Amino acid sequence: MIRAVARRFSKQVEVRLGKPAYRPPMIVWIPAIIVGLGMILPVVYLLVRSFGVTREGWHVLVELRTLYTLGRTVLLAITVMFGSLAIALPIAWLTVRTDIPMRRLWSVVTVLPLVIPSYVGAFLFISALGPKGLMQEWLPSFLGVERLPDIYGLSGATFTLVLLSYPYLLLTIRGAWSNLDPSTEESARSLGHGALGTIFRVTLPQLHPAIASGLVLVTLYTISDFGAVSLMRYQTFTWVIFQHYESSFDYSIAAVLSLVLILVAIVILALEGSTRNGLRYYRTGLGVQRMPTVVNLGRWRWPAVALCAVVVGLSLLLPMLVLGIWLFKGVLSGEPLLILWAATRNSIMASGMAAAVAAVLAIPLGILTVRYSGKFSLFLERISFTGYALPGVVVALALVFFGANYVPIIYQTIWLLVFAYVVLFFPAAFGATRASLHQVSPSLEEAARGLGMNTRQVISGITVPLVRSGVLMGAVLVFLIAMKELPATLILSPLGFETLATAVWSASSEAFFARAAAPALTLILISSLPMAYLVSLEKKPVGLNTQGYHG
Amino acid sequence: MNKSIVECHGVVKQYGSVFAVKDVSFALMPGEVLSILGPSGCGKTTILRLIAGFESPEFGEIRVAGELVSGSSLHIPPDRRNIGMVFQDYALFPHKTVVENISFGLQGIGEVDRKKRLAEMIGLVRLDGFEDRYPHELSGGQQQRVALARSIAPRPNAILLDEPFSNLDTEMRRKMREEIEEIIRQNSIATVFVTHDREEAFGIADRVAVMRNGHLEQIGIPKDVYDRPANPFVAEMVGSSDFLIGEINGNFALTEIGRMLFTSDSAAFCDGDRVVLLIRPEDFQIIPREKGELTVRGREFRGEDTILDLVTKSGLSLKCRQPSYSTLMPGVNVSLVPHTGKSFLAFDDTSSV
Repeated sequence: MIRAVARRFSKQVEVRLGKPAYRPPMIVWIPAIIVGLGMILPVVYLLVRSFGVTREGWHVLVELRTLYTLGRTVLLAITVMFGSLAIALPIAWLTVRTDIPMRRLWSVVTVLPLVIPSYVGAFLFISALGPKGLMQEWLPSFLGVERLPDIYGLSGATFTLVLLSYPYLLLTIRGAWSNLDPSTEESARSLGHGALGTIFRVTLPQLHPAIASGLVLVTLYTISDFGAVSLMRYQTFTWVIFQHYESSFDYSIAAVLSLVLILVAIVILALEGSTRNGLRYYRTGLGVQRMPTVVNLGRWRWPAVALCAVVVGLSLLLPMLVLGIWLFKGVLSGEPLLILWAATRNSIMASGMAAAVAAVLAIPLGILTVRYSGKFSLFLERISFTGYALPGVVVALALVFFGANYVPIIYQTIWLLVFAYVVLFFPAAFGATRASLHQVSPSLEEAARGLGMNTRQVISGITVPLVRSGVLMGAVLVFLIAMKELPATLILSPLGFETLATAVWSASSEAFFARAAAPALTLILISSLPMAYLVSLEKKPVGLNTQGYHG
Repeated sequence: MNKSIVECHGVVKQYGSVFAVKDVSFALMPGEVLSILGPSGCGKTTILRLIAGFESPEFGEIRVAGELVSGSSLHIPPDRRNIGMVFQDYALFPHKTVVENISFGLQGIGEVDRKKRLAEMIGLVRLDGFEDRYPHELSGGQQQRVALARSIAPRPNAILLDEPFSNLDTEMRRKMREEIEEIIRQNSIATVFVTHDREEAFGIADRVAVMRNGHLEQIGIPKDVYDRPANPFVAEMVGSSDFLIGEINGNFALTEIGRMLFTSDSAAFCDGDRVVLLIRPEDFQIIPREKGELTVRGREFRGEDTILDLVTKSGLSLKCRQPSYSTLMPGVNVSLVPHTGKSFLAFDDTSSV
């Protein structure tokens, strides 16, 4: 029975593809459809739920409070965008095109702030620069400073998010810049344009798509951030949604606000899409790429080094230093470290399971979209990226409703949390797997077919072994991101299930900074290992989350 | 009017310990087309980049229109040299239309003149109707024409073409070569053209420069370079060549296939000296003879002619061109008779082949 249905279905797929010789096998399209359904489940469920929302529930949309929240969210997104651009653009140029001293070192360390979760960064900045912070503890004694400027609010949130999210932009810009055909710049020079004019008229316009997609990453990161904004007490949508969820049993307002947040994400993606304007920027020639001429900085070398040093100092060294101080203080005051073992084990278990599930599921979907391209697979591909645009709060909320109402058996278990992680971070696994599938020449698979293997044997014997490294990289990426995830973990963790992320958050939101230090450091150390693996994997910096948007 | 447009004098370019260009000197005259021929990695592209100003030489001087642009501690940047360059991959700006690409170098002139020059260029490369297309919407040949128009629009002192046809298929290559030659001849633009294809080099150039390992081996008009190559390397670079060992005896060299008249540029040879004679496929008549010194080993039918592969008693292979109706089949013994008056170029037998 199932087989008959399956056969009919795959015939339909085949008709849509118009390629009778290539019919996706069952082991490919069944998991692919399951992934697709899983991905859209949260959004669909929120939409369904919104039908049941009463008029008073909808009324929240036009409330002034909601509009203010929207305004604050957009304002923060804009300030973070400009801030990260101001950092990423010059550093990208310095590390790709100039002879800045210790170039290799700078290109690695400027990306490292990625491993610091936003709530860790926020708690470290607050505990260093905020009221009752380290700075205030030390400064007044000899400078007579009574009060430091207030770090809470927009300025603190912007400061934190810029310093922790600029690496996303840096990675995309740097990737595009080093792939840029240097001969277009040389052409501009020989046509009489100076060095600076060439950058503005030829280089930056060609980097435009990369800058746009990097900014989208930064913006999505900002609007879905929960940890930094709540610690900095800046009320954006994520925080408001979370408060509604925590403080009332009627989740409908949270559901409506979640839909608004999804809408904001869609608008951002649409804006990015429209900047491309249907243009495809790529190199027109097939010629060999030569190494670009390195710009000699001359006496500007040291100001350039100073710029990189300040950025790295603020975004990496300062947090690490503060973390060390709190850790030291914590040990002195006898903070219990034992609880860490459970939290560490829980974090690794949940993230590891999510990584494994996402990586395995990425294979069939990848094969379907790369090898059997058509409207149907394109549709599945699109929806598998929804996780990117969905804030963790929203997915978690949808799954809480869904789990409590329909599948109580997994409600309050680790499985619901893993499900949320997979929905949220599947794009990372899928992007890596798909990229490596694109590297496998179809003629290898065709050769195996010609030697008498059937489709299934080809997939398990040829395709999967060849994309192994891509799948592994995807798994590592998912693990890395899931370890840091906070809002979904807070909402979906079973009772008493503490992870490193929730441990940091609960301690730091109550200003027990010394207690937050140990789990924060453990978290950073554990996510540094996969990060180091990813950096070692390629000579070029890994475009961490960028695969999804080019597709 | 005897002033050169581009002049290289003793130019040396080094990357680390590798010499990309070794002591190269030549001059490009107004309206002249010079092609630089050499295998890949011989430094020919580096010469273009040195002239354009993308690289600066370690030693030597480069002058453009009489003015020093590269010399000891002097380096005029590319944007102030007024040298056009057409890149191997065309390097069209992907974010600009055809018109925007072509007018990119037309700055500092009035709007009217600019429009006029632009229209002139579009007409010259026959891209009417494509003005608002983006590079990726053009065929390879059209992209090439845009690149050419872009480089000559600002009326450069000279243009440099870096393997301009290597991205085109054979048929297109011939067409584009004729088109480009017509354009640069009509406008008498001084041109340096880099290629590894001898047919291209001969077809387009007034003079050919042959390079090896960064060194300029020979420069001259195509016929001279072909007939009197400076050494066996140049001979092989500019035409199909075989080499036969002979011993000097008066005006002749005695070889295993007979007595051959010889000539030499490089050295004075005495009787008994061993030399290497340059043999081209078109040098002989073939006479089938039972007791011939050579045997036909194979034949390659090529349409307009047939190339016979002959083998001497000592096992040396010689290529020989025959009309395509030649009926000589493998296994037949033959003798070679040089065409009347043909004298063979002799090299010192220590010259590397």
